Amino acid sequence: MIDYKSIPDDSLVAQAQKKDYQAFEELVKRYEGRIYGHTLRLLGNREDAEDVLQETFLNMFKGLENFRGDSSFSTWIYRIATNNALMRLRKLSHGERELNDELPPPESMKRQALASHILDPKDTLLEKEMLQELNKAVDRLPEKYRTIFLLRDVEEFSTDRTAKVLGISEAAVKSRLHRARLYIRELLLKKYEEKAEIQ
Amino acid sequence: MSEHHDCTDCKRIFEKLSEYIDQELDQEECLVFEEHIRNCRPCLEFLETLHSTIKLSKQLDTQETYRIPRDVSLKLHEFLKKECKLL
Repeated sequence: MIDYKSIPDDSLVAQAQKKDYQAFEELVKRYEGRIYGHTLRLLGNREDAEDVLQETFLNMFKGLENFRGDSSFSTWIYRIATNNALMRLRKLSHGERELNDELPPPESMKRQALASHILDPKDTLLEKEMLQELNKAVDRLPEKYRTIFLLRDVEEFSTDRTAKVLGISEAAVKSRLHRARLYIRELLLKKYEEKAEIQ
Repeated sequence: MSEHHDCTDCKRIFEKLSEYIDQELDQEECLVFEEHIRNCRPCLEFLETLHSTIKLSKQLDTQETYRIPRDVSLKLHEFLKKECKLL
């Protein structure tokens, strides 16, 4: 009996390409959690994330025979999932996101004097609150920044891998990521300045 | 905003903050960056708050919300079994 769990991705892919359904299923089991989390983050609701999850693995099944391993299996499956999620987002927003897909210019070096401890909470309650604010800030990012921010800073993909998943240059990844981080930093600090004023 | 902070060096550093945090600068750029930061408190503070933002972002991944619920997983496997048989 084959122990599929111990087989590396590329060998499982080769097996699945030979119509071994158990190998395919093992790949699904291995990636379903990560892909679900990824689509849920991109789409923001469980129903759409579930649909995209199903669509992604079905696309993977259909595309397996043409997969040549130019990129890793992991990068390939993330690329399918990301494309499916972005297509759904565009469909859902009927182009609304495209109308507002640029970030305001960063406030340059203003607000630099704020203490870094505000964004480095030691207290659990404050940390929870900060994470909620962070989630809201991420949701406000235009799509082309949000996807990169999620892949790089939340899922901790490398610049190279993010570029491959999205089919864009590394320079574009770096520049959009920097803009996204500045925007989020600014929103979080503004929020806490407001709070401090109230108190 | 101090006058000092309108200087070209600070603007150049500002553009490189993320690459510095991500350790994507080459050795020479890194030395120039660190030399500037050592002598520029506002830039250092900006770097620290940006770094903290990034550290906080990494924690979003460990939140329970993003784990796949069992029923979603079961539905996925049933869906694939049915659909893949038809192909």
